[in-house]
Amino acid sequence: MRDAIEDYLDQVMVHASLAPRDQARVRAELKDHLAELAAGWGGRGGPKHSSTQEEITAMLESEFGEPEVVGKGISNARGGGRIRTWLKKWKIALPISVAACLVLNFSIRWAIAEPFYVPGKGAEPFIPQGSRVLVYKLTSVFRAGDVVAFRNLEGVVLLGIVQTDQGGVLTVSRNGEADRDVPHAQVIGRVVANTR
Amino acid sequence: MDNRAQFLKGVARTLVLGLLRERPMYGYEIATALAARSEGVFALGQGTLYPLLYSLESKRLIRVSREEEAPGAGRRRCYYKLTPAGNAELDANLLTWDQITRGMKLVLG
Repeated sequence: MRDAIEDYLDQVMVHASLAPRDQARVRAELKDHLAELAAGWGGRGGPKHSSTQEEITAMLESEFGEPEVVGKGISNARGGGRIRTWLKKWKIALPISVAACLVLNFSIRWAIAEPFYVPGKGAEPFIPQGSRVLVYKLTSVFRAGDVVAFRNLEGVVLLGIVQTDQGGVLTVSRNGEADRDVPHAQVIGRVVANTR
Repeated sequence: MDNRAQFLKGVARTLVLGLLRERPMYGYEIATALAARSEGVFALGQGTLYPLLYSLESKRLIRVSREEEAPGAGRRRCYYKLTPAGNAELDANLLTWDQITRGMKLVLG
């Protein structure tokens, strides 16, 4: 008789997925209940002795419930704390929203605005060395005095001050360097904010 | 789940709180008391009682203590007791129940 109850409990506990500190108590409590149920079975028309394991299991399932249903019910009721309940609730939604945030983040960086760290002094005093700047990419009109970010021929991102914009080519000045011509295709965008 | 089971699930909370207001009980005792005193109407699958007890416990409407069945009996059981919050919840539920049954009688005659 003991084995059928233990087997039944094993199945319930698998589905209940409880925190270790709850496991012992719940198992002991259910075991007491099932033992009393089995002991009282004789009085309710069931055979008292010589019941097979299958008969006891069938009785437990009809009187107490399917182990899976009971286990899942307990799992839902105890939850294992707010965080676990919250995670369960968001099991599918959470990865989707994280992925959506990442996609949104990279699309904004790629198409609209991107932050850059400024390691050099090319655009001082407007942009001090060590600043972080936000470069707005949806702009195609530049005026003299705008600070722009562009890629040089090696692909390195540099900042410079616009002198003139003529026919799709900007003339850009940098501290300590000769003015250079930068085609619009190499321009990333205009600096709209900086941290210093 | 059929209609009846859905309905029973809704009222089981109140019934359990009501039983525990009389005296602290352990799980098997609650299940048999529900079945016997309702003449079998509330003989719900006994396993469904525990999710209900644990959920009431986590809402602090009842609290559990492991106590010996009788002094010196050696066997310890989980007894459930009503907390003050559970007492208030039961009062509120009974009031709602009164209003609902009265309303239903008035409508259905």
